[in-house]
Amino acid sequence: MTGIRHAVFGMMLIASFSAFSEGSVVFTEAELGFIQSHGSWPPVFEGDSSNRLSGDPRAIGYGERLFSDLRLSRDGSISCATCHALENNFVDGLPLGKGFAEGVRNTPGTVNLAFNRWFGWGGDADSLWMQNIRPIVSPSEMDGVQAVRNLHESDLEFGGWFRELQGKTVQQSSDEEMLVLVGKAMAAFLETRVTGVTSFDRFRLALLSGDQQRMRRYPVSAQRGLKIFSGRGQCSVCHFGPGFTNGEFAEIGISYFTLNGVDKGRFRGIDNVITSPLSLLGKYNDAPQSGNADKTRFLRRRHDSFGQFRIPGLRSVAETGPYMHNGSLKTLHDVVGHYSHIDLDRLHTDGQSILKPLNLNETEIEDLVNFLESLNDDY
Amino acid sequence: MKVLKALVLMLVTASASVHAGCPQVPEGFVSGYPGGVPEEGTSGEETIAVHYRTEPLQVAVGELFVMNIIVCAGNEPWLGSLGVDASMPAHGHGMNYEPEVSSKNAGHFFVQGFLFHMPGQWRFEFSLGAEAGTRHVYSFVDI
Repeated sequence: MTGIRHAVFGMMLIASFSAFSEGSVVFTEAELGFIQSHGSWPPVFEGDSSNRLSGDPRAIGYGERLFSDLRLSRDGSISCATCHALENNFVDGLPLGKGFAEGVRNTPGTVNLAFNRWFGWGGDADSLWMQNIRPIVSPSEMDGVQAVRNLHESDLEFGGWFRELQGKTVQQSSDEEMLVLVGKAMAAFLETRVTGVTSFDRFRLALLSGDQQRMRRYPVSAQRGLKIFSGRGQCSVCHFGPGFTNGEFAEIGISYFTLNGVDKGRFRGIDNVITSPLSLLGKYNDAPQSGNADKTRFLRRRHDSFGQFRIPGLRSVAETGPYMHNGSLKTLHDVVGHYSHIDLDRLHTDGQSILKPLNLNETEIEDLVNFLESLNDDY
Repeated sequence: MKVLKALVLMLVTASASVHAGCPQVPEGFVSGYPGGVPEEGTSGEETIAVHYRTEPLQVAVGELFVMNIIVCAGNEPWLGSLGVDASMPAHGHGMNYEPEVSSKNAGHFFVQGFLFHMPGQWRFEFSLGAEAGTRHVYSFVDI
């Protein structure tokens, strides 16, 4: 009996080892370093010092109402949530955003914005509250400056919030002051939109602690995809850190021609942000002595900024197609395929050598897609 | 009296040397030289050394940081100009930010506006300008 018991135990041990061996991917030290950098999630957010309403519950509630109110647009037909649809992962699912006219850029998601350094595909804004103002003002998006004023003059609730947070009525405020207050309230709300812990995060913790049992719960295909992502794919170099973005800009061979001209991307974005009275260099920064404007103050105009666009974070990326600044790639499979067969002759990167064709086979493409899908917080 | 005068002279000479010479490199500073190594067998004015320390000491990806720099020409503080930049030689790109150099005292510089936006090896590039021309010192850091 004892011999049989030992034999059974030995077979179970061999079986479990085999299962682990079959289900495991071995990561190099360098790959582990990148994997470690992709957490922990979520990072601690200590508030936006440039926005005195950051973290203020009154502003968060007011901002949430503003975000979904159609009366912020010229004819009462468009709200921020029209494009950044709450029920559709804060995107509209279209290649190009559409307000009163079709735009030239894809509608990005509005999650995890608290951790951005720059805002908008071209980095035209250096704060979330500055970014919130642009679509309201833009004639092709919401064209809503007068509409915002009308809302606050006619709606007692909105007028009351405005007066409480601004310290004066909307009638006593200039258009610019009014828009800044509205932008800051919406920023206070949007800062609270943070995605949750994902199966990748659980695997990362298990991997770093050597918990093999918990590691086995993460699909092997996604592990293989993670190995490509953090290893030979060099994806982690730009899609770095807990948010899977280094917060800067890149040109990756996606066309910057539009129907009517050229989208200069970061090149124009730098000019826009440093000349805008709404940037952190201006008077609406609530903590100018904090150094929070240094990133704008030390910005460098570079020739190779032309045609560069902001490197987006990848958490919940599976929910935010189509992809790229112009929405030209429909699925994640298309995105990975683009990098797999990237045409280096199409890059205008002045001698930079980061991107290289990965020449992935179909299984490897699927593996990478499965890894990216594991960055959803309901995966 | 002669002994007293000699003693006073020694004390004066010693204190003058402390003020005229390049200061001792404080703790935590990294040293760099033209050509990568200290120059030996040259006159004092050709022996250039750049000593720098970042704040924070450990540079993190995506975080702005500053640098304190002491530049010595032999035993004297460097009196020329200083330019500072950084790049990633393996990737072929520089920073998206332009550091700003200011001078506190002779040979002492403070630089702000660094941001390394990628992990990997970066190269600090110090350009030392003088009437005789510009010399370059490079120093590598892995983040």
